[in-house]
Amino acid sequence: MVRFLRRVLNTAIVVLFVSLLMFLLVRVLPGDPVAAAMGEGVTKEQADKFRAEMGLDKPLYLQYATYLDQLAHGEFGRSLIESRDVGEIVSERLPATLELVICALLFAVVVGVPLGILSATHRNGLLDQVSRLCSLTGVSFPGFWAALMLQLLLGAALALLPITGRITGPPPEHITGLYLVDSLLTGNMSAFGDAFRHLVAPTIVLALGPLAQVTGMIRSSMLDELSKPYVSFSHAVGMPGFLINYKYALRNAFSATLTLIGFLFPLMIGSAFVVEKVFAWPGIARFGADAILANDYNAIVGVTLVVCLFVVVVNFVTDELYVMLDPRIRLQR
Amino acid sequence: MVQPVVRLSSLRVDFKTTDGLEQVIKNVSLEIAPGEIVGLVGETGCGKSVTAKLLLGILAMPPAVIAGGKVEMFGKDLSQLGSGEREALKQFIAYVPQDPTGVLNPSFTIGTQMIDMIVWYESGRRLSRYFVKRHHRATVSRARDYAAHLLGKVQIADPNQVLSRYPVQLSGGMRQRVMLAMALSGSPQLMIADEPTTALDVTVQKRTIELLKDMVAREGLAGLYITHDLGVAREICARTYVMYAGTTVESGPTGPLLDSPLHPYTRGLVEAIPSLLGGLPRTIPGQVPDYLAPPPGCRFAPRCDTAFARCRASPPTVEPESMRSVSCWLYEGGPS
Amino acid sequence: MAAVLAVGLVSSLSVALPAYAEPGRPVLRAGMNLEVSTLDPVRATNLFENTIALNVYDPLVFPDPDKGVIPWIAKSWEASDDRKTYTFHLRDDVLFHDGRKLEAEDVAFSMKRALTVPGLVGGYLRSIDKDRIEVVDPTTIRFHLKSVDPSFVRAMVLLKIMNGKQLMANKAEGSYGEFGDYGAKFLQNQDAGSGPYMIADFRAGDHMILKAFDGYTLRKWAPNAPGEVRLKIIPETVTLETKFFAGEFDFDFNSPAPPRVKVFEQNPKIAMDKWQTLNNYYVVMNTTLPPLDDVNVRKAISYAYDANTVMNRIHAGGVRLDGPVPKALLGSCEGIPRYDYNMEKAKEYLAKSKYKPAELAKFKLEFAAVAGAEAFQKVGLMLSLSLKKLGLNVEVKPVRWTDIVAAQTKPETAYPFVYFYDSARVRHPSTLLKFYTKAGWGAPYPSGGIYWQDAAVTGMIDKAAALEDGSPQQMALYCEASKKIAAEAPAIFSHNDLRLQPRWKYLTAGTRDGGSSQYEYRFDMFRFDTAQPDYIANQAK
Repeated sequence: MVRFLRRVLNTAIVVLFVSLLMFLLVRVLPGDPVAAAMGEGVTKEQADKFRAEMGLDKPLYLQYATYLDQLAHGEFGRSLIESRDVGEIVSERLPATLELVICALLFAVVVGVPLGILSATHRNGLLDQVSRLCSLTGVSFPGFWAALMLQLLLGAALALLPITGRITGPPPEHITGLYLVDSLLTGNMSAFGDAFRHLVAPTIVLALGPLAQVTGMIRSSMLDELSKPYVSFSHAVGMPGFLINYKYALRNAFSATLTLIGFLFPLMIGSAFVVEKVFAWPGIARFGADAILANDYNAIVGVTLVVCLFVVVVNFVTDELYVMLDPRIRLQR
Repeated sequence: MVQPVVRLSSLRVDFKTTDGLEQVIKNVSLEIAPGEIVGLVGETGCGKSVTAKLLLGILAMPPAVIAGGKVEMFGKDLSQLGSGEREALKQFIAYVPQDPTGVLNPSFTIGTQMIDMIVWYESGRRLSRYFVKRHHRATVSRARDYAAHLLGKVQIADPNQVLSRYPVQLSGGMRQRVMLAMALSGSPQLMIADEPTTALDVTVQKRTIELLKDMVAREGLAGLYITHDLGVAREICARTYVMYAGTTVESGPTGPLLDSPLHPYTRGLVEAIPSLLGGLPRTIPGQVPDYLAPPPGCRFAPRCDTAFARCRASPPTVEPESMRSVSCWLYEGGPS
Repeated sequence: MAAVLAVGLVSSLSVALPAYAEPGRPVLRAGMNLEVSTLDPVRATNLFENTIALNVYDPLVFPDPDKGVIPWIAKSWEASDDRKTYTFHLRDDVLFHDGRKLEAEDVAFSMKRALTVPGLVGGYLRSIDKDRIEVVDPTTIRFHLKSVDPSFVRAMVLLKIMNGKQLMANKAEGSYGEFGDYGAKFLQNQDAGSGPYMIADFRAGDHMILKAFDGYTLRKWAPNAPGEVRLKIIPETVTLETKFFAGEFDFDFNSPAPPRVKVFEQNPKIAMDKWQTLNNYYVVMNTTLPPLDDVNVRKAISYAYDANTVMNRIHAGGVRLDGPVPKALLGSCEGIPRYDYNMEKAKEYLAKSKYKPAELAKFKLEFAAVAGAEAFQKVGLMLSLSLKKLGLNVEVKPVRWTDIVAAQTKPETAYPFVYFYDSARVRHPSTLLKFYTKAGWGAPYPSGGIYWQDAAVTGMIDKAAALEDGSPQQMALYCEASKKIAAEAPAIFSHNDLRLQPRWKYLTAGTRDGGSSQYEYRFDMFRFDTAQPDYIANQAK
């Protein structure tokens, strides 16, 4: 419990530090947010008015104090590019990205783990060769291109999947913001099917790299595990291969992969940008990138902070899972 | 004559490697009668482990190939068995491995690992049936009781406590006893012990050997005891086979074999035992030969100080099994 | 932190269900590759924000490509003799979307708001005296100008009339005193207009749905005009094309890139309208920086610029631009010096420069190309290659648009070269010429970064402002000013581009220039041929 509280405190400090860092960083960057927001032909009085409106005329420390105060009240300040509260934008767009990233991660794990195991157990076999080739391609594949090709093939030519967007019909009632979850919770199966069909292509594209990494990681740690004495012992006493591979060896091989997953999560939020752009996915990665291009201070800080929070939480969860999976670490405590 | 539990006759095992064909086992003949413990001694790399792995069914094939001879277990010719039948034999074998540390899965409790085995044997080797039983409360609790009973058999004082422990929480001797208990979880008729005590310290070693002897006697097991420790062999094994470079060079009742070794290699081994009375042990000069290009004659000839021309030209023939046999040109016409 | 996040997640907007069109009225579907950041017509900046604004709101006067402007909400207007007072007479049958009648008070409100709230419209209307806006009666309004502004009536096209009563009834806390937030919160997801379309649903970053306003009186609704407009945000242009060809969109806002033109043209179901725009493409130079402060160097650079390649190979076609103002706005004006690509002449002029070749070789001049705009980079690379042959070093640098805008406001930070276009929103020479007078220096638009002036030019422009708008005398002065400016080459005057507008054949979209930027996208003027099978098939998608 003490350890848990310490973790929570650490998390809070990290988030606070990131908020300060981001706050300072965006203000050091070149470019005038006023010019960005207002465009051509703006008069000086109007620009000053705008600056005052956004609180940009005050000294930095006051701006940060105001910002922290707003944070404490759950406000992230107003976004320049969408002229509404950043919190509102984030709460609208974060679930879209989370849904995509979680689905892609699940896909990468659900497909990558068995593939990695099969690769390892049939080392140098046809499946192994093919999956290693695919891994190599997956890692070095430009996601942008893959996205466009999938769109052309599955969306336009074969008309199997929608080309863009998150949902065609009315979205399910808002509970978590994750359409799949919300539609299940409200029993809205047509929305579930709709949202699912929209998720397929972006999920595959976003999962390409992670899938390759997970497969590779599982393969190498499985090979490592399979050469351990407990595996040959289990074989010697006649235990079935299925149990040995999927229960005994996987448990140990998965620890390393778990770390990888904790590490992939923030990366995927980053690379979701391309997917969100091509598939017109109303997510936070795209918004974050737009915010950076437009010098939208509050949005940059708000988005970074929330994403950072999620990354910290995910790392926290993977660390805990790691401990759960590996009794050696648990017992050393 | 009683049917032997294991019979290897003129066994030859080759390994296909990228460098060529390694003739690792060449001309091994061995027999284990029911209730008899047979020792297999020799230096590291002489083929003891390959032999054990072959009997345990965990020798990777390929690269290994049985190039000649015959392997019989429980009266069945292994080459005639399908993989399922071969697997089914495994629960009649009690395997006691060398290092209990790596052999126990670090991520699962002793209980889980033992219950898995017990339930699996009970399920008649059917995965679907296993999964049903493994989640069936009564079955699992029965298996747990049986596991505790087995731990009791190997003199573990608090079996239930040990069952809920992870391997890292147990001492080396404790782990080896757990291994012994696990070895009993099938309905074994044959024990294969691969240097089970080398990883333990001396006092624990002693107790484990006692336990092992006791267990074998009580359960009426036949056994193959692999070791390079001739002292241990003398203590446990009724008969002993000496292996050198993939061949059985000498065999016979352990006592006489060690007291009056015939084969120059066996003599070398015996002289290498540090003795309390006489100075430093002698070592055998030279190394185990290269299996890719073994000497055409006797494989020991390059290291043998009594070798003569014939030894280098052709391998000595093995005498048919009698009480003692030796494969050496020195004793052509029978041991004198 | 968890609490903050929870608040954020829970306080999400309740989502309005997209409205579906009544049977029989066509639905127009198109994609937008930029975000719609605001629905406030005053704050609107990009193509789509403006397009939405001009469909949801109406101006007093309507742009007309032939006549300049035509009466709209204002049925007539007159100027005083000194051209400093303008009186507009309004129609009395114009309704806002909430059903209220549009009155002069709303015009006054809209003008004050446009001049107060930061936005681009205010810049074009800044000659108006904000404190002397007179509401004479409910259908008459009078504006007083601080100084003569010949572009005033044309600039009125940009002023969108907003429902003042509605905005004030819904005002939130804000920094505008009695006006609160000036309706900013209200305008986050709805409109206060009188235009042909109403905002039915808007989800930032995702979609916008407009519905036809049945109470619209300024133009009769045609049965085959879009009864609903669905705009999806599709940031990637390749995806946009994919969706267009898949029949999910009826037309494409974007001109296809030159290599893609054929793909559109070869498709029998697709038509491509082409028309000449008044988008002026320039490479502006910061004339305060050596060696660009030397007229001979600037002329040499102008000769080294291959406008034909830029126009026809990098862009999808166009006509050459002589001087700062497109010919279409100057009437008959002949004799503006023109710099056709000629390396010999370029060398000649460079030789006349006060800088020696060795000095010239030492300069490292940056060419700012808007980051992400591939065509702009290519133009920069082409010019730098060409100038390399003359012994001038130019480095092409991708810069974010916002950073360019910021840099141009000061002579010390303004880039040596910036390639950009001016969409000539207010079709009046004075708005384009002001950058070559001190009054236009430092404007955050790239042209504001030229920092060049000439007393004679300034005199002519000031004199023209006082003359009757559109009179031959005024045109003659603008013509002379253009000649003098072009002779000094403070910028490379490149071209006006050709607009390529792909559409499905069953749709007739804005087939020509709308008279002011983006007025070709008044959706109430779009027509569907509802009998065509492609129309029926696509509407179902």
